[in-house]
Amino acid sequence: MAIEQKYIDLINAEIDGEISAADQALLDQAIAENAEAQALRDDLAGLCADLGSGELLSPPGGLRGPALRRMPAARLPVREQIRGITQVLGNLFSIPAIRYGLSFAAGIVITFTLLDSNHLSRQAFDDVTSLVGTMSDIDSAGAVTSNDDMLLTLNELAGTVNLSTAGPLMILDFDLTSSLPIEIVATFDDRDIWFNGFAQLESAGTTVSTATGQVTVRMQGERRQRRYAVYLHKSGQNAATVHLRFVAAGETLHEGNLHFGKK
Amino acid sequence: MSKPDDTNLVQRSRTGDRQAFEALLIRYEKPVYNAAYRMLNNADDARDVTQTVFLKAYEHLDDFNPKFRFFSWVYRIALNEFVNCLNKRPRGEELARESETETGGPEDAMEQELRSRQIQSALMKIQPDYRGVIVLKHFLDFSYAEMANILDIPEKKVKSRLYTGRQLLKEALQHRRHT
Repeated sequence: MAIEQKYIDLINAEIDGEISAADQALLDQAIAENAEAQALRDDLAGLCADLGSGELLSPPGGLRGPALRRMPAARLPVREQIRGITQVLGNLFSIPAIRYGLSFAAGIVITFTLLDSNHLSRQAFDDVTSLVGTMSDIDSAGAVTSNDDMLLTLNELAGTVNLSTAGPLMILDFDLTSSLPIEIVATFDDRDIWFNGFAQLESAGTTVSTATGQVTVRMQGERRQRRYAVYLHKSGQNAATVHLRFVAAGETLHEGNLHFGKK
Repeated sequence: MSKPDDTNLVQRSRTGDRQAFEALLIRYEKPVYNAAYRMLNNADDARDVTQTVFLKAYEHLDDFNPKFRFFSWVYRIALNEFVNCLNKRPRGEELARESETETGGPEDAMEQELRSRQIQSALMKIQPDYRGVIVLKHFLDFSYAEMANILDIPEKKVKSRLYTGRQLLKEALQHRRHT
């Protein structure tokens, strides 16, 4: 008798000590009726006992000394650092030539800011793979919130796609394995969404191109896990939908939507 | 007298108190070193990475959010360093390094030692993503929620990665027994 995935998950949760009383009762009943489930539980429990049985290794004796020596000799408190910077700036601004020079430089910066990416990134690019790593600083965008995800369990393509947001960024996080070259077409009808960047981990060979309202990612099919993320900029907080279509050799394998905000 | 808690030590380290940071280093060098060793399978790399992790932690202490556990934050830094270290290695080197530790010796007579080596060897055969969750759970004893926070992925994905990781580890161990 095969074991349902639900019970496999419960066996793992039990081993990790993260199972509720109700689920525990459910699992106990399933195990009493299914010898295969019992064998799996014993098997996993044995493996986990082996994993937890080893003692932690002691770090080598010389580890701490060099680490401490490499640290900056004195770490100024943040408040003092700010006071120091303020003092230096104050001294600089007291010199008229520097004051006028900095004002001029500030004018140039403001001019360029007015011509910022809000305008430029609406342009379409045929191949933007080389823009890897050019997206906005995600750390400054704020906390990342997961909004929706899609699970793929096809023979040719398996894994997950997750849509999360961080401030004005929408992040499409692909974690996929495919046996065929796959083209993933992401379309969005919201005119306030545009392509902002692309990042890949262990996914050399994946390419990305954009057009208005559309980003296309092409991944090779080598049965290896591919991880990459497409960053979209979204102004405003209104709900949005990204339509994903997975195409292999001209045929659509799967399509579906990921939602942000109320559907 | 009770030991100062992490938040207190971080606070003092932020004001330049190196002794406070040394206390944090003493407290967490062992788990970080062990995680590094399990991920990288090389004692020298594990030592270097552990040193780099604490150096970076010291430099970026102002970014630490006391809402979270200090060790979770340190482990996030460690995770990036593990990936950097693995990426610098030529392809296939992980297995070569692993085989160095397999040479038989008198100490291998101890069953537990042998089992530990077999597990380490099998760990190196699975992808770093899966290896990472197994190390977090079984060697560092993190909960699902803490792992989700460290890895910046939903809890659901943590569970699925951990369950698949165990399955892959079990297969790798079985494969070893048959070869």
